[in-house]
Amino acid sequence: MRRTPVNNNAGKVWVFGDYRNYFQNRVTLQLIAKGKELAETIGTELSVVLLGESPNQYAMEYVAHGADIIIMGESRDLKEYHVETFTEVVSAWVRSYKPDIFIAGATSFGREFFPRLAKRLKTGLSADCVCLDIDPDTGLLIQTTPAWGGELLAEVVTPFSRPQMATVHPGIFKERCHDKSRIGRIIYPDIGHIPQPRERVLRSKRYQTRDIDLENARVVVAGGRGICSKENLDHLFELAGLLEGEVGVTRPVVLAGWADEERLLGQTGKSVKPKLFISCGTSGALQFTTGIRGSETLIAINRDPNAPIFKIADLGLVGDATVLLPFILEKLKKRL
Amino acid sequence: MLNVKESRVSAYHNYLINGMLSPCMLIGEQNGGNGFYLLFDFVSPGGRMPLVNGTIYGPQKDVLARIKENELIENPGACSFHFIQGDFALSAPDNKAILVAKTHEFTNGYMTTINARLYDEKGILRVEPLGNSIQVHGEANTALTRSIPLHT
Repeated sequence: MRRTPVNNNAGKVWVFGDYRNYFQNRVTLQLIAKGKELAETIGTELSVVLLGESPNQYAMEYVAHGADIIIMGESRDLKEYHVETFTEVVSAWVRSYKPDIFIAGATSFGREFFPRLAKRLKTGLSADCVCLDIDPDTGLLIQTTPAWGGELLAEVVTPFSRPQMATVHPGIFKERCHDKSRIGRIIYPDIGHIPQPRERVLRSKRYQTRDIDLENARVVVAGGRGICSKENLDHLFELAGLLEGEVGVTRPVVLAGWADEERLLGQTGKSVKPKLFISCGTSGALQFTTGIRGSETLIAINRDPNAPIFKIADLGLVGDATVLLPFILEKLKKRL
Repeated sequence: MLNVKESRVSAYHNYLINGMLSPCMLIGEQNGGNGFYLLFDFVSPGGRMPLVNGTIYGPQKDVLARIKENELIENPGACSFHFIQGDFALSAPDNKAILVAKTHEFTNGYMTTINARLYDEKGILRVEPLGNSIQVHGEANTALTRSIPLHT
């Protein structure tokens, strides 16, 4: 059979397919949904770059979720993630196909791989973006990312270098439905010489996390520094239990050792989209609120009437959360 | 410019051909009389079994079997044909495998791997094993966009 057919058009919007822990880590599917929207806006196709030893299942999953093209690198040498080898392979493909946009999840891998890839390609990178859009006038990708320690949101564009690269925080975008009837294209570019990585994986073990499904919780009760102690956090767990919800926390609570990092919300933690979000003793710093923007109804309790959280809350209670929470719990228990 | 090979890919079911995922494949002329052909047809969502049609020749230019929609309709080569759920095997009388397919179940779909050594009506080798896939020699169409209606 002939090699080198057909159509070297590999789309102009690319998403990197990070399929580790696929059925829990949905960020690639969220990026496929957003990438598809961006691709349609600029009149091109969406491609997903997939590397691995035998990632056939994920190629099919990504097509089902909206990918038009899979760019597949299949090799035993790509079984493990090695940032050096991945950079080598993917940078060659980018130079050959010249995509306009290339995005990846801001996972531990994306945060290591994408900066190195951007450097190799001599282009810029916006990290931890919370919004991506196409400028209708210039056609450039507007990459919205928290800046100045999360105090403001910056809109970044890359007018001269290509591709326009960004990592995106998990949970920001909604994935599309799984459509079994979709047909896509799959291209297998030559991988070329794969350099031997300088490190060797002797064994890998999945980090055991407790079963905290914050991202899919219908109710989230969140605590900030204003909760004051680990003991007061128990009130949040009790409230979340009564409302069949989950508990999330801000960075200061994690740093104080009152809660595990798995419960961290915001820019460096999880993003949530519950029907009801109850914020207790959080000030509403931007790096926190970027992770709770999808909440349908937001109730905030804070003793500072000028706290920024009240600007985005649907209902605000000015008062000490440690005092109000026991009172709310008592009332709620009587009603339930 | 990079060397590239390309195929279509289904979100639901694919065959592994030439090391590529393909929702279908046709080798030879499906409606070309008595000539060799092999069609692995589209499997629609909900289906689990690969769909096989073909006129299978041996290396001596002799017709071994004709298969239509997974059924052996002619068997001059006295082959045995087993079809169990998603897997099938066409074997010569001496039990040597001619065409074997195995379907692997994924969480949301299926992939069929094929192992075969097949010849056309001129005795030319057209398909041979390649790892857990097959290598097709000569023209093969993996870019079919829809099922091919059968006229035989």
